[in-house]
Amino acid sequence: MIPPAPPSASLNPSAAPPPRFARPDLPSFVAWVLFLGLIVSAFKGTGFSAEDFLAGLPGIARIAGEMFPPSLERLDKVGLALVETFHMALIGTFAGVILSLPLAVLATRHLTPHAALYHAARATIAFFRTVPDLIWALIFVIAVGLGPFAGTLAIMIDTIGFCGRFFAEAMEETDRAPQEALGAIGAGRSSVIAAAVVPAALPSMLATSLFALEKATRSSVVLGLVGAGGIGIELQVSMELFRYAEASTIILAILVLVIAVEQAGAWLRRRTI
Amino acid sequence: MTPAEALVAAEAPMGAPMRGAPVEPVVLAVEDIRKSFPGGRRVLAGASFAVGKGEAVALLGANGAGKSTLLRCCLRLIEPDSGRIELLGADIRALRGARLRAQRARVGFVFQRHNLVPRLSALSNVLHGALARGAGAAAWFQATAPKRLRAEALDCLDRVGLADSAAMRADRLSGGQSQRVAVARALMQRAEIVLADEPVASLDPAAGEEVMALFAELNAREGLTFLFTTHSIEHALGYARRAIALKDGRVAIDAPRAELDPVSLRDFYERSS
Ligand SMILES: Nc1ncnc2c1ncn2[C@@H]1O[C@H](COP(=O)(O)OP(=O)(O)OP(=O)(O)O)[C@@H](O)[C@H]1O
Ligand SMILES: [Mg+2]
Repeated sequence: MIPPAPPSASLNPSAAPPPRFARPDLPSFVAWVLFLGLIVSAFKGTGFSAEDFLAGLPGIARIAGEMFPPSLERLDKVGLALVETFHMALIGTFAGVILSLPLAVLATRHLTPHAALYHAARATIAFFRTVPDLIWALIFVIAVGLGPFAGTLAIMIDTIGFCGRFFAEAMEETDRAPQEALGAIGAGRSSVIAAAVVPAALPSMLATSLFALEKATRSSVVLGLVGAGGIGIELQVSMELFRYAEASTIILAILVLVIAVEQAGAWLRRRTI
Repeated sequence: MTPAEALVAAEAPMGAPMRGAPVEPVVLAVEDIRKSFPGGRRVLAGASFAVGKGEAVALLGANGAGKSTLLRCCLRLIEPDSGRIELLGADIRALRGARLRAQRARVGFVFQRHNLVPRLSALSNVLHGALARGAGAAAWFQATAPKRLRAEALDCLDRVGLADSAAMRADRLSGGQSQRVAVARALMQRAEIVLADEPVASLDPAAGEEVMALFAELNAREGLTFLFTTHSIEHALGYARRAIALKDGRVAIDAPRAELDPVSLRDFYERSS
């Protein structure tokens, strides 16, 4: 079979080449040069070298070898840390979802009581979302001390940034007609939101909350590295003490938790359409 | 006045329209309502009419004649530019906030479609009528409603012949059933007057007749005041005691059924378009 020729070439051979192939004008030429310069200098800046990578391979192989078989020695401790990690993710997400609801209402154009509140809510959500969760964790470790509570607060703020945005979007996209029908019979704003907006946005909000839980589970693992509770600290200690067999147990445990939460989330999403 | 004279009156731009006397006491009095939309032409240019207690009145007019606008103005869902609207003894244009909502609560409103919250049951949707009576959170969902309210909502469903479908989700109801649930919600509201904007325009003829017959029955049996817009001359003559027709933003015909006939109304439509 003959593949069809590109239409511009076959239909009108005398036409100018597509813009992609045209000689670039000066501004885009300069932009390309700058872009390539940036890539080159970034390669230099990161010390990116295939040589060093190849030299490091035996080390990786050695660590991988020492990781196997995983050590079952401190399984009880690892198990407890894993449970703590999941608790952090669960409570952080739960509190975050609850707090996202009023914030999302304020951040929804047709539901907000005032334009100023709309902009304030949008800005808050954007701020929470933009600052990485590890930085929230550092701040809360200083504020409330080392331990899982700091991590839970960091996850809560991160969840508000995530859910606040998508809840508001879900509410914005709901059909206005039933809401107008309730407004027409004199229902108050909170009744319209509870009885018409939330039921319509619920499937989307539930899916968002489950994604938030998955995201929180993954990040609660890392938060331990800054002392904000969870299994991360165990992993760090094992690695620093060169106990690679123990580290592999922890990594496997994390893998099991993340996959379990993802599977449970997928199952729940399928059931709530 | 004969229909022929009515048409003469309709022809004369400034001529006094034919007046149908409303039954006393008047529950809705519209006086000299004007409304232009920004950038658009003038939709209402001094429309006046009145509806008496227990009346069934049809509002006719070509597409874009301003029927929906007029009906919405009666509840201030659209703000008229000028004029006076007295609804159930209150100057609706003078009301704000809670007092406006309280006045709206006494009026049922049935839209052409999308009256119901799709993901909730028929019973929950009927229950929402109680929001008009200040039931608040108790009337959000059937599952959390007190027994007394649920029983009353079920009774309202029974009065529209849908007691069997109480648990059915609103988005699984047929078009005719949905409109009957919307009527049941108005009953739950204990509305003193029901405004309906083309309540059967998206239904098939049989379902349309059924819903119109329901309105007529509630009007006859329970004395419900009923103002509806329609493009169906048959419905106007069959289910209303009086018909009002809009043309050029004003009331061109306002006559009791006895003085109207299909030919003159069809003629009116032809002259309007
Ligand atoms: N929100 C709005 N903004 C601008 N123009 C509007 C708005 N609502 C209605 N209009 C215009 O006002 C005019 C009257 O509309 P309206 O819906 O009241 O007519 P109608 O008699 O109900 O017509 P139909 O029989 O098609 O339902 C139309 O020309 C419409 O385009
Ligand atoms: Mg209309």
